[in-house]
Amino acid sequence: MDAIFLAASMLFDPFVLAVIVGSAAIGMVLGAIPGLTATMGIILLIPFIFYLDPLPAIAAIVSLTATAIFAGDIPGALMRIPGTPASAAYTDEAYQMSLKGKAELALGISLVTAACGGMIGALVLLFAAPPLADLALKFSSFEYFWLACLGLSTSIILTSSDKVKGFAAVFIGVLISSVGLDPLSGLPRFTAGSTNLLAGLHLVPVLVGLYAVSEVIRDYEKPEKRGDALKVEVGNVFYGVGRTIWTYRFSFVQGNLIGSLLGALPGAGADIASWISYAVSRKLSRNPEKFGTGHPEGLVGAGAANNSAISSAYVPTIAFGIPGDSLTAIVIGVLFVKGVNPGPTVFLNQPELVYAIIFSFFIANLIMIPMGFFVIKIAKNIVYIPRPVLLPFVIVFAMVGAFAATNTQFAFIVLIAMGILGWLMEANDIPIAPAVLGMILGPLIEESFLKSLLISNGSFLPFLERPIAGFFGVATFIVVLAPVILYLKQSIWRRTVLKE
Amino acid sequence: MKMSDPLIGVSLISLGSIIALNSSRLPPARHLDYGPGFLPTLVAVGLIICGSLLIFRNVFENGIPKFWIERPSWLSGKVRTSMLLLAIGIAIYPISMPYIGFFFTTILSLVAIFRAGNVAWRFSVATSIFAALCCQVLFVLILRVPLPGPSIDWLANSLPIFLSR
Repeated sequence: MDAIFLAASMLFDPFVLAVIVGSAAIGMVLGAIPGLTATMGIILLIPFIFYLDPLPAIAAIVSLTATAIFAGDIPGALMRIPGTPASAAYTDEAYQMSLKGKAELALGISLVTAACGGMIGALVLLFAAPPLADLALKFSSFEYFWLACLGLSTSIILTSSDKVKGFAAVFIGVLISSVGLDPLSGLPRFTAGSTNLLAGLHLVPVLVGLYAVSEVIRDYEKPEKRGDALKVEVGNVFYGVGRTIWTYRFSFVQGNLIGSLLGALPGAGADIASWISYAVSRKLSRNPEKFGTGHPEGLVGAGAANNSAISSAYVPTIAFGIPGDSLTAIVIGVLFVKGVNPGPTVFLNQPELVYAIIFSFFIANLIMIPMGFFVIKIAKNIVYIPRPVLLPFVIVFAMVGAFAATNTQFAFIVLIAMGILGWLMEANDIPIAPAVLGMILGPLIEESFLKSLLISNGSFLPFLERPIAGFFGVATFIVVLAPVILYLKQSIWRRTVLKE
Repeated sequence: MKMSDPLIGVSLISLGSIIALNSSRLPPARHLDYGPGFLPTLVAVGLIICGSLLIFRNVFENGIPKFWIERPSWLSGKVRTSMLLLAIGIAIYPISMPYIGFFFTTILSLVAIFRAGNVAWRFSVATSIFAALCCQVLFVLILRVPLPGPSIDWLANSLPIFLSR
C-alpha cells in the first residue's frame, strides 16, 4: 500500500505531469501525420528521454504512444490515410462514415474507445500482469504459427464481397513480405541483385504508398468525384458516442479483451490486435454486410483493441523483461540505461516505480480526451480545404515519412510503386486490407513454421499436439472452413427451395 | 484502369508461374527440407488457384471469357495534363532529391501537383516555397531527419534570426 501512495506522489510531481502533457501533445501531432509512427516518435524523443529520470522517461513514452495511436485515426477518418499502421484496420470504415457526414461520430468513437481501451489495458497490466505474462511465456513457434494463420484467415473475412480477390490480395501481401533475405538460411529472395531489397520492403513506405499515394492518384484521375466532399458537422464530438458504444457494447468488450490478450503476447502488437478485433466484430455482428460501408461497430472494437494492446504490451515487459512490441523494446533499453532491471525482481526492488508507470497510463489516457477533442476540432477543418490544395502536402508528408522510416532514398521508389499497385488493386476491386495483413503476418508465419519444423525434426504432429497450438489450429480451420460450409449449406437450401 | 476478371485471372496465373519458377531455383540450406523457396511456392500456388477461379467463375457465369481493359478516362482532355503533372510531382522525389536536395525538390513537386489541380500560379509558387521552408525547419532542424541532398541549413537557421530582428 505504501508503494502505491509513493507511486502517486512521484507521478503527481509537476515536472512529471508536464512531461506527460508535452509528450502527449507531440504524440498527437506525430500520429496525425501519415507515415510518422509512434515508434518513430519515441525514437525522436530518445535524445531528450536520456536526460530524464526513469519515471518521467517512461511516462513520456507511455503518453506519446497512447496519443499517437489515437491521432493516427484522424487522417484515416478524414482523408482515408492511416496515420499509424495500428489505424489501418478500420480506416476504410471511418472514412466511409465521414463520407456519410458522420466524421465527428467516427472520431469521437475513436477517441473515447482509445482512451477506455488504454485504461482497461492498464487495469489488465495492474491486476493480471503475472498470470498473463506466464501464459505468454508458454508460447513457442508452434503457437505463433497458428496465431498468425488465424490472423491471416480472419483477414479474408475482412474482404467485403469477393472472397477470391480477397485471397489473391493476401497472397500479394505475403509475396511483398517475402522480398529480402530468407529468415532462416539468409539467402536473398526476389532481390534482382539490388542491395536495397536485401533488407526487404519496410512496412511504412509500403503502407503509406498503398493508402496515401493511391488515394491521391485516384483523386486526380477522377476530379469530378471531388463533388462529394466530406460533410463534417460542427458540434459536440462526444454526441452520440456513449449511445453507439452502448449499442455495440459486446464489440467494445471483445476489442478490449483481444487487445489486452494480444498485446501481452510478445511480438503481436497494436496493429495485429486491431485487425483481429475488426474481423471478429464482423464475424460476430448481426449486420456483417454493413461492415465496410461506414458502420461504427467495427470501429468500436478495433479502436479499443489497439490502445489496450499498447498498455498490455507492458505486461511481459515489466514482469519478465520481454518486449511486447517494438515500443516496449525501446522501453526496456531506456530502463536498463536508467539502472532499472525489468523482470520479476523489479516488483520486489522498486514496486513504487512499477505502480507509477502503470498509473501514468491512466493519466495519459485521461488527458488524451480533452487534448484529442481540441485536435479533432482543429484537424477537421482540413476537410474544408479544397482537395487540390490539401493533397500536395499529403505527398510531401508521405515522402518524408517514408524516408524517415528507412533512411534510404529507395523508400521513394517503394512508395511510388506501392501507390501504383494500390491504385490498380482498388480499380479492379481487389481489397488492400488483406494484402496489408499478409505483409505483416507473412514473415511471422514463415519464420515460426520453419523454426517449428527444425525443433520437431520435420514432424508436423507437434503443430496440433500442444494444447494452445492445437486450440489455435482448430480455430483457424473453423474460420477458414465456416464460410465454405455456409456456402454449401445455402446452395443445398436454394436447390431444395427451387425443386419445391 | 479496370480490367475484366478473366484478364486479372490470367495476370495472377502469369505472376504465380514466374514466382514458382524463381522459387524452384532457391535451394534449401544444408540439412533442411524447407528453404527460402517454401513460402513463395505456396504463394505462387495460391495465386494460380485464385487466377484460375476468377476465369472459371466468369466462364460459369457468362460463357466465353471476355478479356478487356477499360480505356482510362484520364487519357484524354484536361485530366491527362493533370495526371502528367501529378506523375512529375511524385517522380521528381527519387530523381532530383540527390542533386538539388529536399528543399528545392519539395518546391518543384508542390508546384507541379498544385498545378495538376489547377491551383493558381501565384498561390502555388508562394505556398510551395513557404511549405518547403516549414518542412525543412520541422523535419531537418527539429526532428533531425537526415534528408538527402545539398543542405540549406544556413537558410533555415537564419529564419529565427530574421524573425527576431
